[in-house]
Amino acid sequence: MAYLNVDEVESALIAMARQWPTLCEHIVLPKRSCEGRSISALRIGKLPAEEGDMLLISGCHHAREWGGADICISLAADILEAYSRGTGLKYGGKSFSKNELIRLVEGMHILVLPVVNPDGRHHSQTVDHLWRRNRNRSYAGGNPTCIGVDLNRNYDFLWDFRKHFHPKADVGTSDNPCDPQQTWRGPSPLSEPEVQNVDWLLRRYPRMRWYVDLHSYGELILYPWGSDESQSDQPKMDFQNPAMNGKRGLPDDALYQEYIPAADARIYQQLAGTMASSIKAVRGRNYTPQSSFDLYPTSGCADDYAYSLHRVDGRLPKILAFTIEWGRKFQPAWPEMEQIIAEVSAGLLNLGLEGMRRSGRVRITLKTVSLRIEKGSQRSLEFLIESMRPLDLRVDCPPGYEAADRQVLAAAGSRTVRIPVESRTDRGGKLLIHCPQTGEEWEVQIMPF
Amino acid sequence: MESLRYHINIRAPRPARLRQLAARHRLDLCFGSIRKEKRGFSMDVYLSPSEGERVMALLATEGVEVQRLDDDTEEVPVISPTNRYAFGAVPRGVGEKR
Repeated sequence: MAYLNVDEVESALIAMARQWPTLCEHIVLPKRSCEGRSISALRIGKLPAEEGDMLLISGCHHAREWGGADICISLAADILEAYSRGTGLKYGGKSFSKNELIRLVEGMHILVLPVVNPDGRHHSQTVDHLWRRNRNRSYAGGNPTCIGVDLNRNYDFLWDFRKHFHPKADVGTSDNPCDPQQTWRGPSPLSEPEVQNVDWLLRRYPRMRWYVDLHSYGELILYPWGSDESQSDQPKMDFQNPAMNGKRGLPDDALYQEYIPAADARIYQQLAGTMASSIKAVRGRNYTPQSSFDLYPTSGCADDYAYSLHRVDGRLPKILAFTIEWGRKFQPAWPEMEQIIAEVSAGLLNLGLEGMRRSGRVRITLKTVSLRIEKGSQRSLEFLIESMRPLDLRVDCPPGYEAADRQVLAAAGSRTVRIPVESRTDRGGKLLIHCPQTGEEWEVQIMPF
Repeated sequence: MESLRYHINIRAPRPARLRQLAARHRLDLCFGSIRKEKRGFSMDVYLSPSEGERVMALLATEGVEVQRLDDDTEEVPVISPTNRYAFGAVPRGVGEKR
């Protein structure tokens, strides 16, 4: 097998949307790349786009990090095939049940954007395998080594590092278009069409909850902030506070530490830990969860930007954003890349499941322990439900019994929901009830009269 | 196809110095691969054997702390030469469906 080329990524997305039209949607993004390539994403999920919580996964901001695109395509194909065949999924030592797949497809959306930077990927795959940036020639002055912007330094989060950071901070970005480290931030924040596409996705969906940007390499799971160490005691030390300009980015100092609410800090650590343990279960690799700043100070990165959006504009949802630095080199040989795809896929699926479990105020309590039903009669299962989002209760009956699946509408407060069960037998059995949105399952013993 | 990978470890007091060396010598370095050590920072870099000899010599003359680690062999990454999904074939993921 081999890495996907740029045309193949587009064709693969279209092919999946044609094969499973009720499960996914091919989305052509509004901006073409600098060299005119079309860029698209695939939304997987049975709910209407505005209804379910959403996880966005993007790959290939950086051209040479080829495997990000292959992870996205493989993950999408795995979810769609497993769900449509009614199976679970197994990656090495980590398994996901059929019900977990149902929960992912019917309870939320997974949106994959395999190649943010198709021009760069094409250049890296055909001309210079270490190319990092996009292929914007506008500021190169005819010098081929000065082409392109580092897309993961172009986001509108403390982009102007000379103003926002301490002069001695070792920020991994540059205002020199010809910077040999290829970290030029671009002429202005969000200047690049490829970055505008990601911004468009982040703002488009009212229930965008999680974002994972795939990079290589280092076997790390990074989360905000990248600007400085995090703290939860001093809200005034905030990226929006101009009084803090010139103080950010120094390690081990009291001058500035970026504010993050304690609850968010806790959930970031928990979700990153969840991903790391799933990844490890696949073949034993240890991915280290840490804040981006622990690596080095950054400015204009996608993960900080996504998480900062709700603070800048209160109408936007809070997006918990991560960067995964997969693997141990940019372009591992394909057999190794397949292993990496498996481990990262496991981490991402678990993030979706765990994130969904935590995101809604959903409480389902089964009040019926057992049912005694006479042949030819009817009794009801009784649930106490508290949910601000719609739920399904699916019932699996033993032979001789009948019960219909039940849709529960979103509502404030708790209410009782009854599911009638009808008997046509005098034998006992076991009823199985399953909620695809929460992944919970219940068993009820049926005893004949 | 297989190739020998020449594996070196480079150390420096600050990440910026490692990034600078990587840029100057066109090393296959990801910033994410820079590790914090008890003293300073380090990164592993993989090169072809001929490049490895050259870079080791250059770094040594610059006074950089560099160490050669065990080589290993690895398949060269291959990019698909065609479009496998151009005519409606559907991609398959690496996961086992069961």
